Amino acid sequence: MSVFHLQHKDSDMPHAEEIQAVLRQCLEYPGVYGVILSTIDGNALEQVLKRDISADRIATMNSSLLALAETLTQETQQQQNRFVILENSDGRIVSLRVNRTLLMTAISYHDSNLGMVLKISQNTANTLASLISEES
Amino acid sequence: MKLKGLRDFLGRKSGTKSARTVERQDNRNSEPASIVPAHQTETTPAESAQQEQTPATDTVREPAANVPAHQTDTTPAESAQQEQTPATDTVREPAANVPAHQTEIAPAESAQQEQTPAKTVREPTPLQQIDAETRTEAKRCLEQFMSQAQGLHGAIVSSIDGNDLLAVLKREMPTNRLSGMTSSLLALGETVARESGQKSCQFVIVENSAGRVVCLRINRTLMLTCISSPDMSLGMLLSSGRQTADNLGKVFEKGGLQTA
Repeated sequence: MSVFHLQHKDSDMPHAEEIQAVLRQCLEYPGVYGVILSTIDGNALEQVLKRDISADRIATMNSSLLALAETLTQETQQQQNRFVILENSDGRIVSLRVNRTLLMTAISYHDSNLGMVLKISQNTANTLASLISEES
Repeated sequence: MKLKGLRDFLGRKSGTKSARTVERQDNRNSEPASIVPAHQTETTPAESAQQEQTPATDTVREPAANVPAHQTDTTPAESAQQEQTPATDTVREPAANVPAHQTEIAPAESAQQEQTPAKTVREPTPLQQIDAETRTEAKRCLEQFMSQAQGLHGAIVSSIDGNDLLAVLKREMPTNRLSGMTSSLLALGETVARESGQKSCQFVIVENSAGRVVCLRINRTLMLTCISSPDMSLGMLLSSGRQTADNLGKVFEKGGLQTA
């Protein structure tokens, strides 16, 4: 149900320009080179990328990753999941929830500050959540 | 009038005849029917009418026309049994028809059958290769890791396909479930890293409001999961986790675990 709802709204997504502006603002931080906004069932809605990356594939895999991480959080009794961080040899990928139906992925270089990336990602997610209400 | 009287007379005569045949028929029924086959018996109009009324039973009995009457006169239960018997016969037939030389298993074949399950048992999985000594040493390594870092809740060593091998925990946790989920998490993390052009995945960090879960590889077949409180520094957790994974890798390599 939610997939159809969001796909339908994707074509004439409200605040599309504002969302793009918020994502570009996130990209202004020198360490971040890609931001993807997607649904929790794995469909990429908006993306701003400095490199040639398959946003659709990453969105799909990150939705599974986040769902799995949230289940792991429940199993370990650690209350609520905040981030999933992939620490790679050539960079970092941070995934977090925007609201009940959306998630955000920030891709950064390896020399970026993790604390800064987390803070910027959280701020961007909060701004997006205030822009996109769950009804839309 | 004369004709009517003649008809009455003839009618009475035929009535007595038919009565006699009925009596005979009754006698026949009481006699063992094996003497007279059913298809040879003369039937009265009344009987033929009965037969016409019950075509279903007749059609059922027809195939048994050559069978003596005492076998055809069966109760519904018996007929039901008879209907069932062919099915069982057909099941049994192939076994009865199988020649003796086919049922007997050749010595070479039987030897193969005996060897097949034994073959699967003999092949050891990577985890079965770990002996008790290596296991004890690995456990000591995990306990040392737990004692060094104050904020740790637990550490689990598991295979990359989700089977837990060793666990040192400060509080009760479902290690088998956690192993299954962390193996998937690490596999997904490695695929995302490859897809985004960031080479290999070093850690998967799950940041929660009441703690962290960090997953990392030990070698090609094993992985380590560290569960910590939020008070513990992430840098400390990653550093000591990496060091412990390296130590565990050495211990398992020394113990003869195949990682290739």
